[in-house]
Amino acid sequence: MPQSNNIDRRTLIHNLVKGGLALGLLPGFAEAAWGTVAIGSGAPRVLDAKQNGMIAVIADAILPRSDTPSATDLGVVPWIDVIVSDYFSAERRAMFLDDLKAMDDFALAKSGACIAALKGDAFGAVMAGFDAACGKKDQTPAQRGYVQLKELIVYGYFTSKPVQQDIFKVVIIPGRFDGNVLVKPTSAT
Amino acid sequence: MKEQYDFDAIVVGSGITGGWAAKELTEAGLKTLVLEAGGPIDPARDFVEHVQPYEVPYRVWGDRTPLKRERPVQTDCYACDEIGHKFFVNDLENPYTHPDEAPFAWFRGRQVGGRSITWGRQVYRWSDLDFEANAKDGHGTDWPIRYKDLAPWYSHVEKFIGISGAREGLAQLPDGEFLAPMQMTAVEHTARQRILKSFNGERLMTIGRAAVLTENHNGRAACHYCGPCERGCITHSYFNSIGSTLPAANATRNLTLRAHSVAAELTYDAKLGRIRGVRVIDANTLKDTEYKARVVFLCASAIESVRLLLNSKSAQFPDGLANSSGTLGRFVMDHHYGSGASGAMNGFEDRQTFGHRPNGIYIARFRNVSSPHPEFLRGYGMQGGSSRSDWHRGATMQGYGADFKKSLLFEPGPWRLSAAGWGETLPHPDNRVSIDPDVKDKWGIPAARMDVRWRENERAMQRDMMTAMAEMLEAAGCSDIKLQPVDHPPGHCIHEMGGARMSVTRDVGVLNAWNQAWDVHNLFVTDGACMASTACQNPSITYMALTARACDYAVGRMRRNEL
Repeated sequence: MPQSNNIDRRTLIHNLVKGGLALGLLPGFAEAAWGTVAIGSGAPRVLDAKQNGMIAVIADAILPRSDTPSATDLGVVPWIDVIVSDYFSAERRAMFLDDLKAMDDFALAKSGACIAALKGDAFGAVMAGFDAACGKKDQTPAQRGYVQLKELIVYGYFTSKPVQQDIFKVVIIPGRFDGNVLVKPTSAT
Repeated sequence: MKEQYDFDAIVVGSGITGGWAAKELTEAGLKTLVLEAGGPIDPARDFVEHVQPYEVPYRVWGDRTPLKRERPVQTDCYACDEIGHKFFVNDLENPYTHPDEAPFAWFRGRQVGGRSITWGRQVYRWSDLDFEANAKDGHGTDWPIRYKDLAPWYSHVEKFIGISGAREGLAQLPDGEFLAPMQMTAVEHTARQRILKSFNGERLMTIGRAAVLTENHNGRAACHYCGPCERGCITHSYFNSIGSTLPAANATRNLTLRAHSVAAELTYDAKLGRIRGVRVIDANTLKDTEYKARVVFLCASAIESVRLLLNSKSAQFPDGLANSSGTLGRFVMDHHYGSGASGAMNGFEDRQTFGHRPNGIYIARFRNVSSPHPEFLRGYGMQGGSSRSDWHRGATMQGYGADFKKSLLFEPGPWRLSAAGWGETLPHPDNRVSIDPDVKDKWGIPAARMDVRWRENERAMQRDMMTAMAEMLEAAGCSDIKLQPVDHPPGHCIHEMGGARMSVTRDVGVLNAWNQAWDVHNLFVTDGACMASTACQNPSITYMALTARACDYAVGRMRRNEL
């Protein structure tokens, strides 16, 4: 965590409040200085190249590139590697890796190729089969692996700094609460 | 020979009640030592309310597996997450026990400020419906005070700390000294009107009454609506002792605050029949020191204060200090909470909110207020709120691809309105804290053993919370109504109360009407341990009012040389 940035910002806030200035006037440079991107980087830890490749293909199928970045654009795959390596218990990690294998085995049996090699309708059929398990009980190991993976992909993408800061334009210090605001339409995709 | 004292007063604990005792005693001119088991807090360094998920490795995702290694209990509290876990104890250093069949959640914060840093900030006065309940239905012992005794002290506290809320004129939920209320959402405002109409005014939804400033107050800035108050607040916009009572105490120059000081025992002078002082273990050096004072206030939190009394044995009090009644450690309570319902609210698709309101809605108690309920005694209030779902829904819903992404990025999900009950728990002698003879904490102090269980009255109330909330959601115009059965163990609400209750007579309780120990007159207990019942309201404002009132009483007695 970037302590120096935190303290700078906090000192700024403190001084603004002491000076009676509205927090809504917090200058943009302070917002920009706040924090660092922690989207996951560096060499893979637990996931091998094949697993990384499969996750990347699924991640960009779920959250593809448009006029906003895709999941892999924002480093979701290495972040998932951090979770699998450092966060999961040994038992959960083993089950997740087994489930990834089950996903590939399913694709191989159904379409004759592993997930990363599937194209077009064959890939779509496998994805649709997996995705239908979301929110359902009684999942196969392959479906369970997909549901877990999808949760991580979505979470990793939407909590990334680019999404939070550049797309959502999250205001960390709103300065007020309004319980009844009109929704603004958007044309972005 | 005249006793020599190090201080006029010692306060054990620096949280919500400890801060108040420190303020009131020092402002009355007493040289006061505050003992805090944990370390100091520097808001600029330690408060983390503005840290964003992308600034921490796991982004606050998941079930907190890595934190569970040292905090297997604490991580069950919503606030003990990747960002805010520093405000919760290491469970391995601070063990406690309970029967396997009676789990108990004890969430603890050992630092200057205690749990006032992480508390929920909801504040509701009690009424005589609450203070008279024990006497009327025979559960527990009668309170030695009534609302009129505490009302001026509620005002005293509210004026100092700042409470935002709406005046509603309800007898069972008295109005206080309020700053401007926070806004309801459009959905909540509509639901309030529809529920009032459907239930002939009997069920009232109001904005939560919160110790969060909606305007600058007593040198503290108004809330900036960042959201996660439980991680601290650099502008001190919600009440905690660090930003409010302790600075006031410090300004008197009568305060000595000693961190890393674990209170191990109260020392008792049998000849004088008084507390001599507090034996303290330095948390870092393990050095043992006794501090002496004319008067001691226990403000360490309900279970810690009772544990300290139980661990303070002497020939006079072989079963724990101030325990001639045999009730010390008994009648331990918590609120049972969480059961309720939620529903989708259509018709507000063009509406959203701005800012992060650190507050919700409150539905005042309506059961056993004007007519008796056939299945249970006492009652419950409900707390909740409304919001639109956001991108989180994408983690579990079906769908993928460009439209899926666009929907999660730019289209807020449906509105849902939900609320859950906070219910009164009947006092029961078998709900108790005792000392585990086999377990000690890191500092060698015998650990607490909890045995607290919900009983049928609580279970019946929990069932009613769901059906009553579903009725209100239907009246509000909701669809897709879902019941939410919740079965948190005792302690989970973090409203531990009882164990050293106040009473009308000395044979049935530990404390008199002034929070003064019946057996030892220079000992006061003003945290949750003193409570003779729980009501259904969040209790902290009542602890604060009782503390201020007890301090005023003690100071008066000391000035007259009666203590």
